[in-house]
Amino acid sequence: MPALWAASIRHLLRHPAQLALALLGLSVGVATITAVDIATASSARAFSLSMRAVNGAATHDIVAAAGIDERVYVDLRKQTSAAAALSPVVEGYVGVGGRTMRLVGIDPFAAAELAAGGASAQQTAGSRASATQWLAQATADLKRWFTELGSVVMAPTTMREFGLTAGASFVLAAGGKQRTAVLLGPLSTDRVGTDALILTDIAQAQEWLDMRGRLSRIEVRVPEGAAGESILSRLRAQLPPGLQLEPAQSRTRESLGMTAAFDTNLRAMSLLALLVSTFLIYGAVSFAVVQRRRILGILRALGATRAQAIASVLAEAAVLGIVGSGLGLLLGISISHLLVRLVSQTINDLYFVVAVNQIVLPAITVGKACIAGIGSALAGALLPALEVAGGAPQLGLRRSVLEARAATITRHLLLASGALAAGSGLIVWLSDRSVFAGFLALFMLLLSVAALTPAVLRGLARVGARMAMNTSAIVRLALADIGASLSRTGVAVAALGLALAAMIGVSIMVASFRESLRAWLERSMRADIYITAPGPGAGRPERHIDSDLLRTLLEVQGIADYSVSRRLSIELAGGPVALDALQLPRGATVGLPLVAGEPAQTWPAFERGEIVVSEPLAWRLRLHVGEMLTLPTASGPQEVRIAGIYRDYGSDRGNLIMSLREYRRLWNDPAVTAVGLYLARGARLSQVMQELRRADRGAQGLLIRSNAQLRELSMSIFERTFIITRVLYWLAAGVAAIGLVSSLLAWELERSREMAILRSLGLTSLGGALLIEAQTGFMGLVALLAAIPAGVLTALLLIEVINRRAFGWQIDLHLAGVQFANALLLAVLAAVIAGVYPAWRNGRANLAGDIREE
Amino acid sequence: MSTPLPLALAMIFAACAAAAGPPTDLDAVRGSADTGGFAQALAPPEWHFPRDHGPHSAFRHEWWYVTGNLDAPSGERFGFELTFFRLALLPPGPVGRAGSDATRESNSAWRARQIYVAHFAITDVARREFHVAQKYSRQALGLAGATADPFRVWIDNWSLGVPQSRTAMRNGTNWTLHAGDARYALTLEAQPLSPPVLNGEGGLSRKAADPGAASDYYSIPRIAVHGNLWRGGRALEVRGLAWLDREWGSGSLGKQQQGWDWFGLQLRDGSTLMFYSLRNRDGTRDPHSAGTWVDAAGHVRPLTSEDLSIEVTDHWVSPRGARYPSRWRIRVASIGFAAQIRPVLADQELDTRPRYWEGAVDVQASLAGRDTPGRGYVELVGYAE
Repeated sequence: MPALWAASIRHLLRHPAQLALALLGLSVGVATITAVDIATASSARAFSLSMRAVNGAATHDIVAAAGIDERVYVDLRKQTSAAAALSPVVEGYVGVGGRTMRLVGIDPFAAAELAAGGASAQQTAGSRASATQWLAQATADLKRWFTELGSVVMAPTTMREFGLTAGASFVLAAGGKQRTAVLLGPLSTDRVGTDALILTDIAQAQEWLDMRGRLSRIEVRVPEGAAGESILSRLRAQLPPGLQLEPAQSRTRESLGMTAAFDTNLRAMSLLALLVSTFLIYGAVSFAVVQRRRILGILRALGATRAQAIASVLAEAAVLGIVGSGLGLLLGISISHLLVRLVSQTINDLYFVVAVNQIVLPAITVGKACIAGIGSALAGALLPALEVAGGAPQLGLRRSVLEARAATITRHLLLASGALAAGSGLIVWLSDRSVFAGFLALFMLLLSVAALTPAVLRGLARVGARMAMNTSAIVRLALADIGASLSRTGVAVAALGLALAAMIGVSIMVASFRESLRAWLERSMRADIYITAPGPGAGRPERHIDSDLLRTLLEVQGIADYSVSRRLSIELAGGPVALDALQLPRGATVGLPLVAGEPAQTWPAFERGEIVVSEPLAWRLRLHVGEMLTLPTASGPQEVRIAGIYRDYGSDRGNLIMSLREYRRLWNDPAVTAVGLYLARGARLSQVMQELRRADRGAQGLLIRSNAQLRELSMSIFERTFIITRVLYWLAAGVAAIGLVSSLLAWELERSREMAILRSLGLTSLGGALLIEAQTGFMGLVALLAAIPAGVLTALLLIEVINRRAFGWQIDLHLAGVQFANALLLAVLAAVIAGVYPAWRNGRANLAGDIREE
Repeated sequence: MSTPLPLALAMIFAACAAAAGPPTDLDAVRGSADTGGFAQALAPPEWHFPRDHGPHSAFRHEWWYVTGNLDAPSGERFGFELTFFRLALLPPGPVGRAGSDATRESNSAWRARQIYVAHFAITDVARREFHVAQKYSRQALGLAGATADPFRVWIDNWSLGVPQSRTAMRNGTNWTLHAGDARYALTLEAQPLSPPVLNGEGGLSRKAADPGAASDYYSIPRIAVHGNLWRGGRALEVRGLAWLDREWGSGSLGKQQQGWDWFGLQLRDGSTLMFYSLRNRDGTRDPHSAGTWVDAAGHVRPLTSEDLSIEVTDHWVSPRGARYPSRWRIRVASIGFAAQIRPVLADQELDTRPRYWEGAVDVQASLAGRDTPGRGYVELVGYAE
């Protein structure tokens, strides 16, 4: 039925502003999920590539919880070299000019043999090329590689970033010391994944990282198929106890698994933006339908079938969806650079080192964007389409019928809202640890708010109108009109309410988290001055304070007492976990708040050698007080009892603490990572710090920070990790604002006849403008009113369910008026802007023409 | 003499400087003639065996070169080559950190100043297959190295010398040899049939007019070997005759020299001929070319360039590009020797860096008018690229 299509097209073209806003909203929604997808995919890819950058052809890794004795490698080589290619790796993190880099120590000969697939000189062209290429670049000058102290190579991009040229020397912080490295030259330019990498000889890496005699892992390459399997089983039989042979991907997978919860949160935030944009589409399409009710009614009367009418509306939405997806994809790609930076920064702060220099656009992302865009457009159009087709043909001609039906729908929505809320609660109650279920509950809660809003709007508009009865006819008129035009006002307010609720919820969650962290830092950080060895990233284990220097530092005047700690990374089920070994000043107790275990029992047990685990670790590994945990110590696996669980926000991977004495007994490691100094009465902080710096001058370049400085640093890292959350919720809010503007604009424009009548009855143009602004303002206010309780509920869900399930930590709810300020600002801004254009147009209206038009 | 000094150096650098292409031309390493800190081969050394089977770390480079022809009971015939190169990056001294950086930190056990390279090749005549494998390693942690007493040189599980398990009972005359990968592997027991033969002037072998361009050089031209050859994991019993070349020095070839042809021939009557022909860039033979004749009774006779004439009667073009001589007619008038030499397989080119040809050959010789067949090995260097 070409007439239907022609009607659709002409209508859309006659209302370009409305069309543009609907498209914009949809595009931003699609762009958000696209950008988040690109950012997480790019980071994951960059990380996978960096894992494979060194021994890319490796099929397996030999690993051990506490590193591998290098003699194991020598023995294996003498026994199995004909069968499996083996390449030893010593790696750790080092700092270069404030950036954390992965230092990888290799044996170039073993790496080349692995790349070539064995000792055979006649290999397939591909494998030989990669082996030789790799070596060619890695060891451009073999003699210097082996004999010059501090020689390293790195990717050309990294050289440029650091402003280094071949032959230049630079300072690198490793193993708690400042070292001098010499850049031999660039790695091969076509080698990917090397951006956060510094490559050096295995000897150099052992010396810098203090890993003499030990290897991080042995990479293994075996042929595919049965031959490989038999080599592997022989190899496994030769391994000393404590060593494991694992497929190479499992290391990457495990590391990427660390960010799973973080990724889930990002995705949920991006879906929120899309959800809001679905409302927007619903609004836009239903307006289009409402505006065309006459022509659609006529066409139906002329014989267009129900199915044809539905099809024409849905097709229109589909076109909108396709164009919106396309635009959204483009927009998403262009904003993904920003998001990639934020995501990789957070990953670097919290999980592992990754440098994302390449944006990847996975095919699946394109698919997702299209499905999301078109799907949400169709979903948004479904109700209006059914509405058009629902009644007898001529009913479509009358708007009053539509409004009457809207009132009925509002009552149904009220029921739906209750059902959604109940369902949300039920899901939380029934699901145990699933983060996904948490988000499902959250989305249902938000939808419940959206479903509730039209009823609230109607009720408040009625109440308002009645109250205004005796004061102002204009106000009464304005409010009554809102209630009477629910089919159009309801959706806009619902979308805005949903976005505001999400915004308030996230604000409260972030603020609560911040306050909990602040309180926790206050309680757990008791020393006045903290000294740590320089090194990469916060809390990475490869560093320690020189013991002679430490003695000198402790002799500085004004220090009454001190605590000592040693941090190292140990392998537990599901990846590395930080172990902190603590020795407190005499008479002091650990300041960490316990969430399980009695302080009176836990801390004495801790002193006796039991461990206390952090809340996230206990959650992740399902640990309880009194249970035994097996730790991979330097003297073999040791079972230790868990004496308590403490609150900790330091790592979502989890931490555990044990007494330094017990640690030294098990690890036989006298190293110290950090000390906390307690000032003597009357000593001046600044003076003591100055003395300490003087003592360290020219020695280790230690990081000496006051309690306040360290707390500030912790808070700033916290803020940095939440930037991305903020960006995403502003995107969602932006979509909602666009939706409100679009809906109200359409509504006001549609009402131009009514306004013209009012104007001709004596309403001034200013009065008209005020009327319009009052209406939009009222709707903004209603959305906000609905959003505040919903926002608090959202926050509770985020804190008690989602954060708990994703990261395992408890946050104390912290409410403050300021958390609602953003939402208030958005509501007012969106409402006022939505009214400006109609108000301006109203002032210039051609009254006679507008009246006649209808 | 087998692969001379610069080639060995070139191998190391090429191994790392790679197929992608840089300096594989021998010129690239001729520049490294600076011998700073290394001992020089200037006069005939005093020889002490078995100590001299072991490493000479004061010199920059050194190798143990075993080639041989093998027969299986089935009648199948094989050639093999197993070479260990030792290359010093720095003269002997404390490994790693220089004195100026004297910190309390000790060195990693991986610090090394010597590198070992091994080439292993099998010529499977019946299957017309030539298989090459190679290994590189630093001398650290016992991954690679050489010892004099008992004599042993090894990388990983490739080795030559007194077997570790029998160190106590053997005195260095009986050796084993092992090398290989998944396709071909070889384990041989080796019994020298003659004492070491000193080449050149009391074992000092001059390669050019420059005094440093010389090496200490001896051979054991007849070694009885027997053991197992594994082909694709299946063992074949083999026995045959091998040749050991030992050479060390710190110098390099002369600038005008382009490469060399080396012949090690073992005749059925027990006599052996070694000769290396140094080729100049202008196509002439360098007068420093030389050889050694050992007759069936064990009498040694040095040969100069004038003693020997070589006529190339055919050529072979490698699928990888180089054109090699592939048949020779050799005459040593002073001892009444004439021979025709023919490879058992045309393609015995080692596609290593640098590329060279080293292969098993058949010899049709006449000695003082009597026909004497023989076998041997020929090495052709400086033809590729």
